[in-house]
Amino acid sequence: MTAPRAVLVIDDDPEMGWVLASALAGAGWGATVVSSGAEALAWVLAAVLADAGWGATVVDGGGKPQAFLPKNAFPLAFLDARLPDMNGMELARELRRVRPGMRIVMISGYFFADDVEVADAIKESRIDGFLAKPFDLDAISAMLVTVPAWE
Amino acid sequence: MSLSRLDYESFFDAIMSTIPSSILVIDAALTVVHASRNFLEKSHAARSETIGRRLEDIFPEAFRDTALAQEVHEVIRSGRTVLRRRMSYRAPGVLLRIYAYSICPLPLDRGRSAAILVMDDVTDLLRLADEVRQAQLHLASVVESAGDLIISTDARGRILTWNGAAEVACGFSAQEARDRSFVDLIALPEKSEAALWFAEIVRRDHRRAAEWPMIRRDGEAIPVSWTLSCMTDTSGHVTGIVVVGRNLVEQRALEAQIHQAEKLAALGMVIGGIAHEIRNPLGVSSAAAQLLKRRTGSPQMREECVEKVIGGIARASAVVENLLRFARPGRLGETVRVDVVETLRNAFAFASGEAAAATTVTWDVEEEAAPLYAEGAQNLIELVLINLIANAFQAMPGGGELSLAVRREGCEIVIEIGDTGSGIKETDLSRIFDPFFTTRAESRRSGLGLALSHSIVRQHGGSIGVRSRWGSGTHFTIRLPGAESGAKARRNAGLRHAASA
Repeated sequence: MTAPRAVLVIDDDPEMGWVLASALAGAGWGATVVSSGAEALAWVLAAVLADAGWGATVVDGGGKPQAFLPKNAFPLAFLDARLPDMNGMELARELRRVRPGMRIVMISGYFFADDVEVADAIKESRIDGFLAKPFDLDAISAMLVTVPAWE
Repeated sequence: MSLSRLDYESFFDAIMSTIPSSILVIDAALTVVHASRNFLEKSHAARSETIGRRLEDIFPEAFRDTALAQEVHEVIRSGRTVLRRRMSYRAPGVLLRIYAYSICPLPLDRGRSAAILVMDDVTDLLRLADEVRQAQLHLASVVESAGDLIISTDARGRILTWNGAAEVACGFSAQEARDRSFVDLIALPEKSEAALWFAEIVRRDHRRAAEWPMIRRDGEAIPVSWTLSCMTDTSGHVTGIVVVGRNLVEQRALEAQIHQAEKLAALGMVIGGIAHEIRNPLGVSSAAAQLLKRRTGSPQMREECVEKVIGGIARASAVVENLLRFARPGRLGETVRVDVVETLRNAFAFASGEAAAATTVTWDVEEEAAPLYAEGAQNLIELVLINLIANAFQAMPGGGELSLAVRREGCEIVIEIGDTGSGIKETDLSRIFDPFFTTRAESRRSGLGLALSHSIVRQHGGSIGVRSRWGSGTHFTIRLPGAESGAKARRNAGLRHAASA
């Protein structure tokens, strides 16, 4: 049995990480939950290397390997608007620069769905979608459907 | 010298040549009998060319149209003096000249009469007077049309002049303002300062600036910034005071507008912060409840979902609780004597988890026989200290120096918490105690910490202050009433609270 395809969840609230991972598991997806912009960038860089055919392993601060990434890991990232080390919009821009093919969906309590800042970010393709907290699990599933089959 | 020995002819000549006017003596036949030296110089004529000739012959043609000859004739006939008449004379190639003249009758012997014609060229004098008047008008209109209040007073402060701007700002006309004491226009309590300044400026500084409210005619006080300068005469003696005032009403309105805009921006930040703080746990509860509704997953998983639902709601409601505490700081409950040094040590121990590896700590605690006690709620004071120490640590992610100090100052206990971290930008310094103000985009930092700390310290009847320089660290000073005076300070705080409620 092959491991389920995984989504990158970037949220510093562990409770939120847990419910998102559970919801994704229910939809047949794996999830890697990270709580800072720096960690998210490390995982996405590893994914870029894996895409290019290099073996990439992300290790934690203590040097412990976290996971070995397969090719085409994380076709989608769920991203919070406020993180301990940077704001979500900035991180989205970085992620887009590093790995343009990855879909980025912001999930936040800070904005509302037709917020100008959010609307601009979608129009300029800095993010691909937005969900306001609290969100419908069905909306999460709907986001997964839009993920292209990368294989 | 006796009159009988006077040589009339010489006397007459002497006077004629001394008076700087052109003088002619003319008989009834309008023949020139005598001409002063001044006249001969002015008309470039020799005495022989003048004496014995008729009046119209010795004047240039341009004069012949004037009524001069007629007037001389009339004076001789009637014996009535003509005083200070004026005539203008324009000769080809010469600028217009203006003469003032007087004609007075001169009785001669044997019933004959003559007239004395005295003429002065007043062209330059008139031009000068005109220029002076123009300059005065110009100055007056500068003062009058100035946007600032320009007031002059005598050396004792009685108003002499008062321009249009003063009239508009104050509502008194220049006439109504005249002779009033300038100081009487200044509202209390600055009035006494103004009076003192008027007394002192004459003796010492000769120039001073201040901001005093001025009472308008309708009784309302308006903010005005004043500059006082002395007018002195050539010997340095003060002859009066020039008071220039700038009406600050519009500036104040503009400032209020800016302040309002800032308040709205701060409110936007507060609302965004609240939204984030509440919707995050609501999001957790909602997602967990939706997972439960699907009736899938293991019993442990469903148990965990129930915990998340309850936990999320509790977190959201704790945020609301904190907001209420901030918005309505109630009176402190039972207060006790709080050992400040011990509380600071506890807080330090609690917050030290946030410290970076290379952080050093210096303690500066005044050694006293008795512990330093503040009056208050121990847990709340500890919360403030934990918050400030944790902030200090977070400002030094690469390590630095934390300095903690406690001392007594009068009947206050002073706690100082300093760091060598990134510091606070000057533009942010005034806002750090605003609720939800944070320069960090972190979700865990609500931006309520300093606002709550401020609120708690105020509740204790104390104060909290901050000094910071961008790049070189931040220093908080907390002042709490000592245990002895604490009860009194708290009563006062309670009174303030009641008054504002």
